[in-house]
Amino acid sequence: MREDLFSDIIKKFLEGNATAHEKSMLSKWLKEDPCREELFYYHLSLRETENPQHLPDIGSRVEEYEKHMRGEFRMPAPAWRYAGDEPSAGRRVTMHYRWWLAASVILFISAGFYFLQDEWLYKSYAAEKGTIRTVTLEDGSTVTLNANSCIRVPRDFMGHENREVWIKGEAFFEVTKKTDLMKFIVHTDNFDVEVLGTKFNIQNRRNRSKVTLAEGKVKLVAKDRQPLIMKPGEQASLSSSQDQFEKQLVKPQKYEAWRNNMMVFENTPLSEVAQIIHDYYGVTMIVTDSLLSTRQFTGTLPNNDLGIILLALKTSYKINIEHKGDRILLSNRSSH
Amino acid sequence: MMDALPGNDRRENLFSSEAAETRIIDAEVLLRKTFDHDPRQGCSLLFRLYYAPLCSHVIRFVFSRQVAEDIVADVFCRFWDGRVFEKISTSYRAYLFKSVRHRAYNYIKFQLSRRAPDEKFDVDGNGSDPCEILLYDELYQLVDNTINALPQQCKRVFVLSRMENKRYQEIAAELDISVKAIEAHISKALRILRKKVNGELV
Repeated sequence: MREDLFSDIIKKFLEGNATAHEKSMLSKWLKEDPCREELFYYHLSLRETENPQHLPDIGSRVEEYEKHMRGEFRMPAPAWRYAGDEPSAGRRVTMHYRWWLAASVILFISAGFYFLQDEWLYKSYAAEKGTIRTVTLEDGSTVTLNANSCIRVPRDFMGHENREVWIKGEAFFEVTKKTDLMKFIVHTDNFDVEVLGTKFNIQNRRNRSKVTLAEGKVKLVAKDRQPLIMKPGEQASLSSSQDQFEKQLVKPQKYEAWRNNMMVFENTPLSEVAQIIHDYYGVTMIVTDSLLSTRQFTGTLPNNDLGIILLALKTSYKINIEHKGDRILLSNRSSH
Repeated sequence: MMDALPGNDRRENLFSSEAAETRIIDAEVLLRKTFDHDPRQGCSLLFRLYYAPLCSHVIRFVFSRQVAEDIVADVFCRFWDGRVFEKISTSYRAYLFKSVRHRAYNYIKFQLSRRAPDEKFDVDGNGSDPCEILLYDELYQLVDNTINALPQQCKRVFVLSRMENKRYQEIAAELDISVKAIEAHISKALRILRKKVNGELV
């Protein structure tokens, strides 16, 4: 109870919104027992993960660190520590950035050529397995693509009656409102989403399309079915075999967590966890035991490293994880 | 004040209460198990988990990506070199955040007041305790507010130089002003920061 109260104060404090009274309460509470600072650092870490000020290139830094631990490479001590006040510019690390930049430019151009060959009339934007990508469309709307997802838009996006987008996979849309009320339409396999200006998440995988509305208002239109108007906080889904929309109330934040590289599980059965990992990383997960596949998982995990996720499942739930080619087998440890 | 409880007991306290029942995967539990098994793997996992949020936090104080990444990497190196993971009594998370905050604090102190950096904390991260936890946050909020209150062009130049790590020539080309003007903007920004922040430094 008290922890909840102080959790709220800590959050307000970190945002710079705590009152003087709250600050002194918090300061006193923290001083009373050194263990309490754990709660503070927990929220601090969470906040920095959710609102990153900067996304470093972890892959290459972690490699350097592992080399450092093996004694093959000394990570340079910060230059400014004893000497001048400017950090020396153009260090080796900066070179790394350049190479990555060059590589990504080449990748981008070659991807461009690939799609040009394929389709002259449409432009596609795709996020690879295990990565997230944000795209700004011509009208200023932004689309954040979840891993293993892509969208397709006409080359003259603004030249039609409506703004139209086709989606495969999952994405979060922030649509800008146009003064002339030009509609924004997202086509999924099972229905169209008509929008004026709003924020929502769409998942279009495995013949099932699902919309979670965070803000504003959208209309879902499907062939031969009653259209549905959604309100914020609602989630609606439809598969080809259903003859009407399935609607429920949810916390939209939970369905947007992937944008901050977080994977949120709330009493999620292992079978579903395996499916989500498959969607994200494109690896095939096989749960060998039907009892195991119903076991439920709760927790929030960083979602940019498959290794961490598997390790978390393995150590915390005592299951065996075996790699067989590009398939991953999950089994009960006790059965071995 | 930190040694009041023996290390292990205290760490148990942190997690056993609710975690065991509700089955929450907290990264700390996973880390502790990994460290018991293989410290090198533990360090690498720790790095993967916290490098980005730590950098993100330090940047709020030091206003430079390069410096932030250097500070965080250095803390991780010492964590391994000094086998600090065997000694700490708090969670890994708290230790790392505390260390980088100390380091960032000393960095601005050195930058803005030209006083020699204080390195005592390096031993265990809990060392000299000049201020209580919350003071650090008030400091970065002050830095942030000061930078936001700078005149438009001055702020733009300062952010491009520090945050984006751009050279003066690049900024000059981008904003279409002379290198001399850039130097003037930077020293003005630093002068204002010194004046505002200096009084708050212990």
